Amino acid sequence: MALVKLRENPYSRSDSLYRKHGEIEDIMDEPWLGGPFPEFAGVYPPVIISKSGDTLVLRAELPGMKLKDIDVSISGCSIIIRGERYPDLEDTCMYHRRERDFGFFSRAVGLPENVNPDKCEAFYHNGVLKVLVTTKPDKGVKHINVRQIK
Amino acid sequence: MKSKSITKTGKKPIDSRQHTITDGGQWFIPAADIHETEESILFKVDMPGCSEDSISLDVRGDELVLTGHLAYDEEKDESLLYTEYDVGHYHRHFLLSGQYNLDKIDAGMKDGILDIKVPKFKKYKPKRLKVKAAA
Repeated sequence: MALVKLRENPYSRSDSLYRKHGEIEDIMDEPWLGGPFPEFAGVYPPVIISKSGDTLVLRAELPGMKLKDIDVSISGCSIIIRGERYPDLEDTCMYHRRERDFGFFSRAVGLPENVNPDKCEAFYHNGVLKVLVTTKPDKGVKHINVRQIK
Repeated sequence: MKSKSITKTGKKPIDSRQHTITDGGQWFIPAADIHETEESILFKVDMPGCSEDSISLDVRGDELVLTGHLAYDEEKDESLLYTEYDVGHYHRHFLLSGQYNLDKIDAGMKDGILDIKVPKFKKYKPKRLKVKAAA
C-alpha cells in the first residue's frame, strides 16, 4: 500500500501553501472535532432517496468507477450497493496532496416501501449512480373489526 | 492483502468568506489529488455530476481556476424523501509555482473525474549527470 510522500521543496510556493492549509484542514476533518459534514460514520456511499410517482429514485456519488466494479442488488426491502474504487495514479509519483479515498465499499440501504425487484433499473452517468426502483402497488387499507371481550 | 474500505467522501462546503459566490445554489470544494512526476504535475479532481460541457478551467497568471456546474437531472414530479449528502456546484483554485508551463495544459473529463496535466518547463525537469571516477 502506498505511503503518502511529501517532499519539501523550498522553492515551490505551492508546496508550502498546501502543506499548511492541508494540515489544519485534515485535523478539522476528524469526526471527534465535528468534521466538515454530519458524517455517517464510515458509511459509503452516502445516498439521496426521492420519489417520482410509483418509482423510488436512489442516487449515490461514485466518481471514477468502472461498471464491472459496481454491484447493485435488491434483497427484500433493501438495495445493496457494493464495489471497489481502485487508485488511479502510480505509486511512484510524488504526492503534493491526497484527498480522494479508495478501497472497497458495501452498503445496504433500507427502502421505505415494498419493491418490485423485477422492475428495477440502474444507471451510471458522470460519476453518479442512479437506481430506479418500482414499488408494488399498495393493497389498500384493510379495516379490522374491534370486538369486545366479556 | 485485503484492500482497505472507503470511509469518507471528499467534497467540502466552500467557505464563503474565502470565496464569496453570488451565483445561486450550493457550492463545494471538490476533492483533488495532486501528484508530480519528472515531466509534469497531475491533478485528479472528483466532480460527480459534471460533464465536460459544464466545466470551465481558466488560467489566470499562475493560477488554475476550476468551476463545475452540476446538471440536475430530475425525474418527473420528483420529491425528496431522505438525504445523506448535499448536492451542488464545484469551485477550486490551484496556485502553481513558475515551474509549470500553463500554456500546454491538457485536461479531460470522464465519469465525474477531471484529469489535468501541466508539463514542466524543460529547465525544471530533472537531469541525470554522469559521475566520473576522480583521477
